[in-house]
Amino acid sequence: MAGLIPAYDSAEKLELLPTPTSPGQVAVRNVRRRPDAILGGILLGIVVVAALLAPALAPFDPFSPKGPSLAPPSPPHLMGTDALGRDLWSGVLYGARTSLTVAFLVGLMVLVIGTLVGTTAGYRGGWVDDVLMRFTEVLQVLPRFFLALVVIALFGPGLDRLVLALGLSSWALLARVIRAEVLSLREREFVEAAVTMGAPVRRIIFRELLPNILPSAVVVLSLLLAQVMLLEASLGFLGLGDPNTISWGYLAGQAQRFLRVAWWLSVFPGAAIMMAVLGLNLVGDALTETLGGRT
Amino acid sequence: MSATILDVSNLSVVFGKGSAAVPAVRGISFAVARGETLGIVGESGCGKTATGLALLGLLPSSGRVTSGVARLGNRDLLAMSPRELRGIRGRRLAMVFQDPATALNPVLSIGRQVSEAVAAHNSELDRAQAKKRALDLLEAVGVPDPAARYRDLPHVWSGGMRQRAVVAMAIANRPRLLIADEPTTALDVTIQAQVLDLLRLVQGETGAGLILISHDFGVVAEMSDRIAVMYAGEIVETGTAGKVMETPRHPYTAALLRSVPDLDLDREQLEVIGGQPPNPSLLPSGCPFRPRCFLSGGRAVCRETAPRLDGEKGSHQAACHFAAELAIR
Amino acid sequence: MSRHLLEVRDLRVHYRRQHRKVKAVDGISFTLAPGETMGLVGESGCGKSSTVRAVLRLLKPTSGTITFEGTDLTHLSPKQLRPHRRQIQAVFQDPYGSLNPRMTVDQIISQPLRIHGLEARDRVDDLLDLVGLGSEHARRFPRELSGGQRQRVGIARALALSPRLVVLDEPVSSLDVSIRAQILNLLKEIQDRLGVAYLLVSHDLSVVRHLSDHVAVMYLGRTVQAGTRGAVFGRSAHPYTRSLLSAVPTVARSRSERIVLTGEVPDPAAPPPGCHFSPRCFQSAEACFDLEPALANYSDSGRCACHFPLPAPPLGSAGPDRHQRTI
Repeated sequence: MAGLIPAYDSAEKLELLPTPTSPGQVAVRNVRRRPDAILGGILLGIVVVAALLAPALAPFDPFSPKGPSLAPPSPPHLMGTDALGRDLWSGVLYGARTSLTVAFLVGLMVLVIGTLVGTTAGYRGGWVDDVLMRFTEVLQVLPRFFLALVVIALFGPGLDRLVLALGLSSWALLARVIRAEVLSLREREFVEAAVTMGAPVRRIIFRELLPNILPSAVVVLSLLLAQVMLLEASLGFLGLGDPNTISWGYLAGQAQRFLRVAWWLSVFPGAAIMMAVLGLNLVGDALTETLGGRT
Repeated sequence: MSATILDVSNLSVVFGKGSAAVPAVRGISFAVARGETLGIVGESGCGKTATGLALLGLLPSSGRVTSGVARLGNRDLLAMSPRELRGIRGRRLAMVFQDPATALNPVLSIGRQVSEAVAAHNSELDRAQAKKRALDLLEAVGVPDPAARYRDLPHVWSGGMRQRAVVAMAIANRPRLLIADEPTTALDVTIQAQVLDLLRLVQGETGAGLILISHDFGVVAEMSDRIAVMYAGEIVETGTAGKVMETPRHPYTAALLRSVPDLDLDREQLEVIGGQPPNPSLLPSGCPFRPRCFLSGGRAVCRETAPRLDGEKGSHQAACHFAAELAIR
Repeated sequence: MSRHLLEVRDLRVHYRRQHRKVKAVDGISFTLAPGETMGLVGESGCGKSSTVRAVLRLLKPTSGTITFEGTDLTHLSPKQLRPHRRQIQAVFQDPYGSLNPRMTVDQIISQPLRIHGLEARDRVDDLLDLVGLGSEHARRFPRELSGGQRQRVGIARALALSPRLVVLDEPVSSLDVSIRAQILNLLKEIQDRLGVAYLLVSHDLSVVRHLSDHVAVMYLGRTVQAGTRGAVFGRSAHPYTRSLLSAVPTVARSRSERIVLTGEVPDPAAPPPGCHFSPRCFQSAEACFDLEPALANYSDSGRCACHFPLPAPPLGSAGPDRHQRTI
């Protein structure tokens, strides 16, 4: 009988792709192919570009009543004007800024607070976990819209208050999801391996746990941001937004009185809101499906 | 001469579609006689599980049978509609799978599930009669005090007990053929012995044919009358258990037998098969075992022509161009 | 000054599960010399995994001592434990689950070195070579490797700090049969080359037999038989060992010699009184149900905990004990 064959037959080529691919890269590739993700991405992309390039793309100052009153869409006012003669196209562009700014800032707050709370509760367990979770539950029960109303009623309208109110009350779901992930990952052998090596707790959390929790966090965030945008638009609609910034909701709110005579005043801002929210939801759904399992 | 219960010819199973299609089973043929145990042994990716699933009509949606005939009695299993298969499964044909936790519904009591297995093909029995049959079955498979445990939910039973319940459900209607896919892999060794004994007992009493699918050579060797060794979707060797284990004719079988650490032998180093089991979507040309074969020696025919099983169906067959050389070494 | 590398004395791990006390490990003692392999074997619930997890300080022992190279590790804080962790590493069962899916192979292997502030670059190449992988694997992610390759990465990682003891927790159970031999040979080769000691845990008796110098058979948290490999496998003095050995289906053995035990492994939360094995034992007597047997020598190199140790089978018999035949 033949003798020992070497333990590793280096002639055996691995069936590898030409370059190393990480789980993240695989996930991105899977998402990129999906039609819903592509569509969502396009919609979001348009919104982001509009927000970033608003000063360049907007021909007029959205607040200045320079144009004819209630003019239908036609050059130079591509989306028409409102009762005060303000250009709607510029308004929509600057409105994108507002929406995205609010979404981004709130998202940042939620990410930081939610991760902190979720990771601590999941990793420490015990009474720390109990206390944090009770607190989280209280927050989950709070209706955010009315909380925002109360804040505005007490402290007056303003973007900063809005961001704070929403940011401080929206992190509950993310904290729960992250806590659940930490609980399950904590038992995985690669975490045990890190402990065996003598890795300090901080390193375990940042190098082992968080990178693997990222996909779930992204999913929750994307859907949350869509909600936040809608909340902001709703508040603007009621006239409770920041008077110094243009908001899609505000534009739509102002358009109510002119529904019959100036269709463009409600259609364009409404379409813009829909585009942003739909885009986020589509991308969020696509991510949920692709990243829903383990990476 | 014992009657043949199952006769499979040229079975092929493919997963996926179009350019991403992966051949899991590539034209295999075998037969099982009354009261006989056929052991199908191989490693992951060899197609043994797909074979069992194909026969039962339980391939996942991504898999389909692309060729073959599987005659059970006088009907072709592979040509049956889902409805016809449902009529047969549990009656003529039954299965035992690896994980009893997934075979049993976690929210129904075990007793009820066994009764259901009885009632499903015996509509003339009423509830009480079905329950009595279920209790008899549970006792037959060695569950102590079945009456007291009839209402237990699966999670309170141990793995070995659950597997016994699964066997009870499988034999409820005295099937002609039992397919067991890794029935004891998830169980402790001493419990494994009990369950294997049970399967043997059950087979002896009902005269059913048993197809035992496993990666564990020891289990297969002990239980089987005949063995089929699978590699890369094909049967590379088949014959009676004694012959295949003692005088293997295919280099894969021979190498595998010598690489497994044996409880009875002291060896300093184990013989190793280099490389790893092939990826079904990237099979080498010619013989699929060639890259790892010690017998091939780089000879061209191994790279060019895929070997077929030699000899007569039913004899000790091997799919190797140089099987004769193995005997001499 | 003890010449033992590892000394475990009367280790107990008890925990509460739904208001009941579970004695996962109930008085285990053993020693391990440098460069040797100790195999813990038993079925589920026997406490072998809990034992090694206690040695690794992944869980806290309830009582008993774990002494490594003369230092008592049992009650050290995580900070005090750190320098000792360099000497005790582990290879885990699941080749995929034990590697961080988001790290590349070289990051995984060099992680222990980076944690302890050591230079990594050359070491990684050496380690890859040691376990039979090539530099083309260094930048790959675990998902791109096969099970055997991943386990090699796990072994390389365990060796990165040049530990004196490596815990092997079911090192080949998740691998394909034809790959197991590669990994087992690799482990032996590494031990020969580097002189590292192994604490091996496995339910697979043949793996334990292949790798171990000393063996302890465990049942419900206690040692039922222990000794050198030859003493335990050559003469299964304890009825449980004998049943275990005969239950393993092997190619060569015929089925007529099988001892089939009745009943299930009892719940560790409610172990039978006296000898834990008595309800299932084929030779239990009155004394067995009342009195817990102590570990006592039955030969020069073997101990067993039984009131009625089984005698060695006569030479040439067809019993489950076979004399060693070397190939």
